[in-house]
Amino acid sequence: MAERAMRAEQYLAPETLGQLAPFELRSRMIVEGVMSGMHRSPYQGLAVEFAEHRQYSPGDSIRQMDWKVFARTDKMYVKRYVQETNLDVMVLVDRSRSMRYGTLAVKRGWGGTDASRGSSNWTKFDHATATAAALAYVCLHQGDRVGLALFDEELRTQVKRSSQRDQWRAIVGALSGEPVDGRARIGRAVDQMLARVTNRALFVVVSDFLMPVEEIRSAVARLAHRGHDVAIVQTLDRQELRFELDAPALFEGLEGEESIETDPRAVRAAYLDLLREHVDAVGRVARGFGADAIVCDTHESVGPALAALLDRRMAFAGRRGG
Amino acid sequence: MNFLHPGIALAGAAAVALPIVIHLLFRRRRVAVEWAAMELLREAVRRTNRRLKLEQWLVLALRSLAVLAAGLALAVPYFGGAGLLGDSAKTWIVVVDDGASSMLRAARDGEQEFARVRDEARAVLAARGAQDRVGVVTASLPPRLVLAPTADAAAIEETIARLSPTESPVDLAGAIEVARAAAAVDAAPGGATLLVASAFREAATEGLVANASRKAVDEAPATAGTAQGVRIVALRPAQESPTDARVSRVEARPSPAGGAVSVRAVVMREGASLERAQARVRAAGDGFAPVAPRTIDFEAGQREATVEFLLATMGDAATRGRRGIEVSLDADTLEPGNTAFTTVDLRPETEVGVVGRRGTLDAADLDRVPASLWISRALAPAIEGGAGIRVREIDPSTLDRRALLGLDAVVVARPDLLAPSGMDALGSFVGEGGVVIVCPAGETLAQGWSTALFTKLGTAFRTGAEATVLPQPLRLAEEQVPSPLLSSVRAELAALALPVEVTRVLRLESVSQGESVLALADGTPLVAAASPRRASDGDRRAGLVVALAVAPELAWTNLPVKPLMVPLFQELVRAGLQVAAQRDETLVGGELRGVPSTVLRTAAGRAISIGEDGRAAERVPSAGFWRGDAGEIVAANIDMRAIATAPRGENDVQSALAAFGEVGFVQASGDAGAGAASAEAAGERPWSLGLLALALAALLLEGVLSRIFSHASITRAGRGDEGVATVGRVRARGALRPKDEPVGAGGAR
Repeated sequence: MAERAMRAEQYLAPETLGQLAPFELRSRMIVEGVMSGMHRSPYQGLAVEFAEHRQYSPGDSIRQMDWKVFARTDKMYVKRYVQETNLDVMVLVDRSRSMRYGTLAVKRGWGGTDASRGSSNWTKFDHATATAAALAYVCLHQGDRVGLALFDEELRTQVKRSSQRDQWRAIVGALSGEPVDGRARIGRAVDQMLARVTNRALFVVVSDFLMPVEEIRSAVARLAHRGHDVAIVQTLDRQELRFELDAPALFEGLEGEESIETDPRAVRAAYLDLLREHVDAVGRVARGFGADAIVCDTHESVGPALAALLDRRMAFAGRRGG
Repeated sequence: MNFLHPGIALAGAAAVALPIVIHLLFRRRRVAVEWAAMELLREAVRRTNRRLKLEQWLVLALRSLAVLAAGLALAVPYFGGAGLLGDSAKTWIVVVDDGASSMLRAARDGEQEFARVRDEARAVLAARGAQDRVGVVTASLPPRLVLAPTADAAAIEETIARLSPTESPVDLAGAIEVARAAAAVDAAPGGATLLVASAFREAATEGLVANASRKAVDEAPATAGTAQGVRIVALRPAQESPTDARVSRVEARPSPAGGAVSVRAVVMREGASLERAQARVRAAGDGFAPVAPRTIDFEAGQREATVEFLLATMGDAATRGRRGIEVSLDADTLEPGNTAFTTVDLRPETEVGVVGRRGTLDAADLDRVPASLWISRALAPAIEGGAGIRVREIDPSTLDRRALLGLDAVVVARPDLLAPSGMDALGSFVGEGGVVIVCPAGETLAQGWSTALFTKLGTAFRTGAEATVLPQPLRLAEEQVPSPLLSSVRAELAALALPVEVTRVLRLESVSQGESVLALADGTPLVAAASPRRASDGDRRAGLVVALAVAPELAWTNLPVKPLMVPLFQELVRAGLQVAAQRDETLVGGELRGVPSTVLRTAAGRAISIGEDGRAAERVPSAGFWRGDAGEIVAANIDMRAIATAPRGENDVQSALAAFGEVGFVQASGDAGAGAASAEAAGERPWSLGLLALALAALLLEGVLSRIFSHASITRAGRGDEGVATVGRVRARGALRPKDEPVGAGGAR
């Protein structure tokens, strides 16, 4: 347990907490929480926050009449209220083998996940772990419930949603002990997830999204159609983003793809164009369903990227009046 | 295409595979890299694959081309052989210059040039292929194939070792033709190479140059085809020019006083730097008293000097007969030419027939004294002791063969009165080596005899049909062309000719250059001499015909009363007899004639048989006296052109040889025994240079293209595209630099 705690702290640095402190994770949608919170609930009229006046019509409960207005104007109005509730955040982390890739050198053995254990590289899965830990901390800090699910070809380990203060430790602990292997099939994982989550929630999907755009579109669409809020955190290594290899090499796929021998300098432009198209396509898919999407560089700190995401969502919530 | 170094060419061709092998080796050693975005990479590779392959093939082709071109350049390619890599057996025909000039010894170490050239040829041949066939042609006259093409190394070496220089002139053009014929017969699959082993001095190249000029004019269309397939490789021409003295000419005349022979020798020097030097000259002959050597003191730059001897006869040497006289120098850098040989015809008394009408010398009427009388008095002055000449007067009407018996020379003063039989007799007389002097008929202007008489005498001389009376007396030319007939009076000839005037002249026609003995002031010949050519005897020249344009009578000229009259006629007879006798002298390498079916021998015992046609079956092989059993003697001398040792430049030699085919020069390396002939063909140098330039250009282009195709410039951080933008990193580069430093304790993401 002590080792797990130590691992958890490794993935949640104080400067990250400092960078995220001014932000709140706000839902873009109305959520169905079971507790009172900072997020708008679909259930109105049950007190908490005044919304509007409406003329009385037969059948309305007279308990909702605004008697003060009636006394002053002799007209009958009914008071309407908006319910605020808490947010359920579900972090879906890709644990496929491609997430083992990483080129940022760290002290050997520093990483606590299966992807970096025994190596000296900070992998995309390490970065996803740090992202999940930071998100969990933010959510718990504002009283929301946060849970975790890991997927590859199907949904694997799941940490139930909770608003306990040390929930983020449980999340990091789950991520640390999870094998990083297999191929990612996000559609199947989302289907399995939707069968388990019945109330509206915010799904934060952390993956490299190195998969067909159609598969991503299908998964995001199913989440959106079920009324869930979605945020996509595309985690890519700097080498994947820049492709700055100098010598011809034999490229071996992490998920069992056929090897390719090529000169990276010669194909770099084409590769970067393709990656840019792919990232743009993922972004367009997200925007198409009202979701957020960010691309994270594993060589960068988690804080600024998440801060940008949270800032964007807070701005949207402000415009909605929430 | 063929190569001087086929091994290097093969290595170069094999080295073409080197870049490919290196490419494959490096390909195998490429490190494996794990990669996540494989689908993107695969698509990127698919999109760039065609371009990449083109780039790779282009770079690989350039590397291979560079290696191949460098290898071929080092192999020194040339066209002429059959096999692309020169792997087919070739024929080498070695044309060896074994002429007289090849005996020249180097001033530095005394090595004979022939030996050096032969060793260089050996060294070049040492680099030949094992299956190559070698033939040998000697270039001295006459060029001969002394070894038919063979692959037998022992026979080749033995033949080359047996070669030795001769005193004959060299005929490289003829030798190359012989070599080409031999190569054509051998017809090796690898083609033929003619290796011309010569120092290419003037003696060797003069014939080549003449041949090249002749071919350029006459045979240009034909040679273009015949030159194909034969490659000529020549040793580099020698450039040193040591000084050498040689006896270029010897003349011997019996002394007018009798009992001695006057010998006049011309000694010439040749060389690049003619410094002050001495040359000791000796003269000797059979039956002559020994005479002390003479020393010539050459001044710096002086090329020619003349030395004279007076050889006194001993014992019965004064009797009639031909004697040999030799003039020699001390040994120097070139042995041939140090000794010259000549003969002298010794006669106790010369008998001359004068054909003319009898007359008397009347002092009161000199104008009517006939030419025959003037001539008789000039030849045999009525003085004590005489000039050794006895005159027999012959009437033209009685002239026949019988009347000419016992005469050495005949002066025809009245050709207009000759009967045809008389003309026939004179023709026979000249053909047997006699001297005939013809003057116009003095008593008449009409001269209708010339065509008939000169035709019988076998000369091309003609005269006009009528003598011309000159309006003004015409003097002799102040500058006379030296003639061997007047060589003994050469010193005083100008003074003797000065008072002579001509008032009537019968113009001599068809006089060739060199045939004029004395000329008038207007340039027309006064006296001309020629040796008749006998078509029936193989164009052999014999005897001497001298023609005068004036009759020695006072109506024609004041010559009879001038001092020139006596020496002129006496020398025409005396020197004419010697000149006629010298027709039996010959040059080494030339034809030898003699009494049919006899044998001529040298003192060393070498013999040449004379055939029934009076000709020897072989050319004269060496200088010296060739004597027959019947007492005849032929002096054979070195042809001065055969020992002209002036060096010639490569360009001159190349242009002279170019008439025979493609030409290149070869330089054998110093150690001939090692057989390592490092050869380069001057004609092919542009090919080698061109190939080297091609290799360099291919390397440069490969370097540039490799640089471009490697895309190295765009992979350097900060210089190219920094990839896909991410959240948390500001696009304005530098505003928020990614933190690449390793994460330390407490530095979690």
